[in-house]
Amino acid sequence: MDNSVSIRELSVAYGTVRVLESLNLDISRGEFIVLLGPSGCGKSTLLNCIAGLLEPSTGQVFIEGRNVTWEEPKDRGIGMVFQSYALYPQMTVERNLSFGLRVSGMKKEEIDQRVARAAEILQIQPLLNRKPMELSGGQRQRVAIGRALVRDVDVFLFDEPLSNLDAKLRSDLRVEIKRLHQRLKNTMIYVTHDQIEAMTLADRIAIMKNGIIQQLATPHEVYNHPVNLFVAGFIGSPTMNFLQGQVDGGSFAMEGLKVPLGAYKFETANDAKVDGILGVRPEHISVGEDAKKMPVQIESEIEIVEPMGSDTVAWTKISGQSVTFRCSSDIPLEPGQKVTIGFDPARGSLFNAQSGARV
Amino acid sequence: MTMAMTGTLTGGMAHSGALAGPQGKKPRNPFAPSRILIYTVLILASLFYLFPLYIMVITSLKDLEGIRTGNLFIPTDHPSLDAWFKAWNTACTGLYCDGIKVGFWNSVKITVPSVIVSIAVASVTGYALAMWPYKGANFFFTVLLVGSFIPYQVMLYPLVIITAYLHIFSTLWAVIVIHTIFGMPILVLLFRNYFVSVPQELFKAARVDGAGFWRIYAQVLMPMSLPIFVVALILQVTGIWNDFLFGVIFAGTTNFPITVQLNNIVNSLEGVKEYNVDMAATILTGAVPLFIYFVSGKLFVRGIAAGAVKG
Repeated sequence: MDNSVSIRELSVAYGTVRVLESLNLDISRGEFIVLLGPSGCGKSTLLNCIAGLLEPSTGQVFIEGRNVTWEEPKDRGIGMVFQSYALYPQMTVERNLSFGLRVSGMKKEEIDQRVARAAEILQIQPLLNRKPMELSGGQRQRVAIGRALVRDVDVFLFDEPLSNLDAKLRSDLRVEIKRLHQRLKNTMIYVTHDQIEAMTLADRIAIMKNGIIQQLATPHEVYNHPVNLFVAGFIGSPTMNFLQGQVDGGSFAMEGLKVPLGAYKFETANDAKVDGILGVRPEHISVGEDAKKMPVQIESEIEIVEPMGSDTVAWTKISGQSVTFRCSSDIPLEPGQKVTIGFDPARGSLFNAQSGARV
Repeated sequence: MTMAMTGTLTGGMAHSGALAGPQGKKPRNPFAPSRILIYTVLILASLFYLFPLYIMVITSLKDLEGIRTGNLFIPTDHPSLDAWFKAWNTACTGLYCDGIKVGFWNSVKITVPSVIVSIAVASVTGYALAMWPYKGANFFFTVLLVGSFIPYQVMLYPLVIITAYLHIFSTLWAVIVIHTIFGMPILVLLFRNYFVSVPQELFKAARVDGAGFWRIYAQVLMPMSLPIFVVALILQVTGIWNDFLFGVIFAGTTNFPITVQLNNIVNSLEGVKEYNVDMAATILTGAVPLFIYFVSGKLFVRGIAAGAVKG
C-alpha cells in the first residue's frame, strides 16, 4: 500500500448521534491534507481517530500500511499539535520537547541531538530554558510543533493550530508550516475551519459537513468546481453569488434575463427543466470596459461600495437578486451609480436547487 | 541639533498640550468615608477574633494566685511557663497524668498517615474520573457525591461492629482507616473538579508523547496542581486534627487524640480549676491547625497566583 494514511469505513457515534458516517479517505505519502468544515462537522473527531485518542465505533485506520486501529497513540508514528498548544506548564521548553523521548527511554545524547535539531528548524534555541508561560502565543505554538518534530514521525496531525493566534501571527506561522512541509516532506493532516489556511496550505482539501466528506480535491478544483452548494458557499470570501432560476435546455432563465449555457460544461444530462441555482464568484463578475467582453451583460445600479484597499467589493442586483462583485480599487464606484456588469457563465457553477448537487 | 529638533517639536505641538482640569490619575482620599468604614470593620473583626487569643495567652502565663486576684484583661507582671509545662507533661486526663503530650503524639500518628493516604487515593481517583472516564464513572461519581452529604453519625454503630470484626477497634488503625475513608467523598470531588478544568488537550498531548496513566499523573498533572493539593492538605489536617467523635469512640483510652484529652483536662470535675493549664493545653491543641494555616496559606496564595498568570 502506497498510502501514508488510509481510513476505511470509519464511523463514530455517541449514542444515537452519528459524528462520522462510514468515512473513507486515502492520503498519499508526503501529502498535505486539510480537513475543512464548520464546527461540529466531525473534522476534529476524524483527526482524533487517526491519532488514536478516540475509539471509532466501526472501521479501520491504516498508517504506513499498518493497521493501527487498536494501537496506542504513541505507537502509531504520529505527532500532534493542538489548538491550545497543550504545553506542559511546569516544564521548560527543552523538557517539553524531550518529554516524549524521555518517556520512550531514549539515550540522552540522541535526545539532545533531536531537540537541538528541532530547535534549529523552528528557531527556538534561545527559548529552550524558558517555561511556557514566559512565551508568546506564536512561540508556544512553535514549541508545540517542535514536540511533534522531535519524535521523528511519519505523520503530523494539526488540530486548528493557528486558531488561538492573532491575524498577523497566523499568516506568519502559516507560511512557516508550509516551509516546514516542503523541508520535511512528511504527510500532514491539518484540521481547520479557516478557508484561507486550507487554500494556502493544502495539496488536497477535504471539505466536511455532518460527518461526511463533501468534496476531496485540490484547492483549485474545490474553488472552481465545487460539487455542491455547501462547498460552493463555504469556500470563497466574499461568498459566491447564488442566482435562482430555471435550467431549461441550453439556458438559465431568471426574471427578465436569460443566461446562455452553451459554453457551460454540464456534469449531468440536462434535458429536464429544473429549478437551478447559478453560482458566480464575485471576482468573476467584471465591471465597465471589461464587462463589455463578457457573454452576459447586465445594466445595474451600485448599492453599497466596500473598499478593501487591494480591491473593492460592491453590492448590486441582477434580476432583483442581490449580488456582490469584486473589482480593482482603481475603478471609481459610487452608490447609486449605473454600471454595466458582465460575467461568463462557463466559469460559474450550476446546481440543482433541490438536491444542491452540481449539474 | 537635538535641542533644535526638540524645540521645533514642542513648538509644533504646543496646541495639543494638556489643558486645565482633571488629568492623569484621579487622586485618592485616604480618609474617604468608604475607606474609614472598611478599615473600621476590618479592625473590629480582627479584634473580635484576636481578643480571646490574647486572654488565653496572658492567662496561661499567670499562676493560679494571679488569676484569682488579678484582672482578666491585664497581663501578669511575672509571667511563667509553668502552666505550659504542666499542660504538656503532667496534666491529668482521666486516669493518666502524663500531660497532653500523649494525646498530641497520638493525634500526629493519626493525622499524618490519614492525610497522606486520603490525599493520595483521592487525587488518583479524581484524576481517573476526570481524565479516564470509563463506563459507570458517572454513577461512581454520583455515589461519592451523595456520600459527602451523609452525616457520618449514622454509620457509627455499624463502624464499631466492622472495626471490632477486623480486630482494629480501640487501636489507632481504626481511627486512621475511618478518617481516610470519610475524607474520600469530599476530596475526590475536590480533585475531580480541579482536574476537569485542566485542558483535555494537555492530557491528549501527553498520551501522544507515550505517557501512561501514572506518568501523566505524576509528571504532568501533579506539578501543575499544587494549589488543590494545598487546599486538600488544609482541609484534611484541620478536619482530622480537630476530630473528637471518631477519636473518642474508636481509638481506645490509651490512644485518645489531643482533642479528647483536652476535653478530659478542661472538663475535669475534680480538684482546683486550673485555668492557666486549661488555656495552655487549648493553645497547644490549636497550634497545629494554626501552623498549617500560616505556612500553607502562603503557598496556597502563591499557587493561585501562578495559575492566574498561566491561564
